[in-house]
Amino acid sequence: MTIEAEIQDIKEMLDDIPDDFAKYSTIIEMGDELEPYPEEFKLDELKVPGCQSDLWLVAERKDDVLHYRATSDAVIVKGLVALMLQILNDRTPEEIRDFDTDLLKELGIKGLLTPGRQNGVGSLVQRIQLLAA
Amino acid sequence: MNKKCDFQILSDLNDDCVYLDSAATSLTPRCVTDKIGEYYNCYNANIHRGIHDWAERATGEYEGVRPIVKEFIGADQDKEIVFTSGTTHGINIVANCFCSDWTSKDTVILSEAEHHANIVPWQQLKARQGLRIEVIPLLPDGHLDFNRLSMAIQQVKGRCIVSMSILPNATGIMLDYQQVSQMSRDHGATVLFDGAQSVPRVKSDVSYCDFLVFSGHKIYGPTGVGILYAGDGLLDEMPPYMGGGDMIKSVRFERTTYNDMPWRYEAGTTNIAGVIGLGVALNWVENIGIENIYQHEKEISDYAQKQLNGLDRVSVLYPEAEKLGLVVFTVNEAQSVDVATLLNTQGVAVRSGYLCAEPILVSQVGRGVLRASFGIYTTQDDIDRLIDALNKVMAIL
Repeated sequence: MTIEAEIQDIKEMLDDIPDDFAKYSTIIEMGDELEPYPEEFKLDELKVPGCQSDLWLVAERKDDVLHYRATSDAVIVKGLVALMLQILNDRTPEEIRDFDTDLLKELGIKGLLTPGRQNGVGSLVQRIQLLAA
Repeated sequence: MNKKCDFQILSDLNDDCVYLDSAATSLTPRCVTDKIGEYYNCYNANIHRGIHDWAERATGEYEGVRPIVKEFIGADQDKEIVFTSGTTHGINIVANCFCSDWTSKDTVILSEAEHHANIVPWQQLKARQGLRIEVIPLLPDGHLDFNRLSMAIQQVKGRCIVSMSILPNATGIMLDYQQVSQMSRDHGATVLFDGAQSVPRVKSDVSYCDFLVFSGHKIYGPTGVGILYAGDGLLDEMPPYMGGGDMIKSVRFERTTYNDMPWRYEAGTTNIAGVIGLGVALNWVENIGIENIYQHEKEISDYAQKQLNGLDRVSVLYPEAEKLGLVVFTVNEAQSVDVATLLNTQGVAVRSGYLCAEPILVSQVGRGVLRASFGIYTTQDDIDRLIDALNKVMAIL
């Protein structure tokens, strides 16, 4: 599935949820499904800045694609991380580099990428793209 | 007392919003926003320069705010009132001008509860000039440890300034500023009080300090404007903080002569509309009566603390201490950023994180917190909305 199609799928799923509170509840549940993040990778140098809570990200190359693992001690951020990785994980570096982050705005999550929001998602996407460079 | 009707932002458009972040920025009544609009729409000119009608009017309105501030804080003279960009600017002026030649023999004494604006300027001075910094801890009940303050002052050998917030933004517990003042002055120390949180809700009296700083945007005025009160003579001979237009009497390439107080600290074009708006805000507060505001916020703070203390998963910082204007708390087993995000979906705006006061919160809590803070427009219904929303949020966290 292309990145655009993945975003569209998630958008349709979120659009069916009536209000922001319920949307965040679903996002928190998505975080519960996140691939476990090894404790030994909770290192300062793997922290993504720009978030009120701690957010770690590590990447590894698997054949032609990049596999990311990430987590946060805040459950909403962790859910947003799961959502981003559902869109961007296990893709080629070219796909990740060329991905237009403006597309994420279509998800309709209020303030998802706003710098002042301090949920760190903007920084996470930046770091994901940086690691694909 | 319900003053919501004075605030356009709290009118029908936003009647679902419960604003509990007034310690960061208070809302601005319509009379202030109207006055700012009037400046831009009717006499939008620079001050102290032109001789045309608009410039004359702008200058008159701007300078007319100085006596309003003087009366509001109980100062003696207009020239003791310096317009700044806010509390942070005011503290930086004192650190960089009054203490410009201080060295390792001299000391600044801070409380553990200070916010970053009353820590970093002194650290910068220390890095440049070797100034000593003494930090006085709080007692377990959240009040200042006066025994430690007494010891610290007695050990001072050179010059000393005691710089403390009267109402710390991370505790909401009033400092016994009269005792701090007496103890400091008995030993010849200079006293700087940060009134950012106290001036909007407690009667100010500058006879207890040498410097007082506060911000317009926390006292129902505009952002980007504030006040430095400097007692007569304290800053008159000091080198100004910034050079530029309006802070000079004459400029030649060989030599510049600085202006008198207070203009020598108001370089360049200042926030004219902001100053004019601040004057209206202070008159508005004066008309309500600072004692009435204090009483209202005391009741709201007591009520909020009682309600929060009644929630099993909520831990209030210094739960037994009397609070004014704000209550800081955490939700057990939940990150403050998650709670604040979910409260926002319920129309409740609170602050989360370290409140620009990392040292006290790192030592006392060890993680980010939530802060509900109040203004003259806050009602018990707002607090009930917060509690209802918190219960709903905690059910999924």
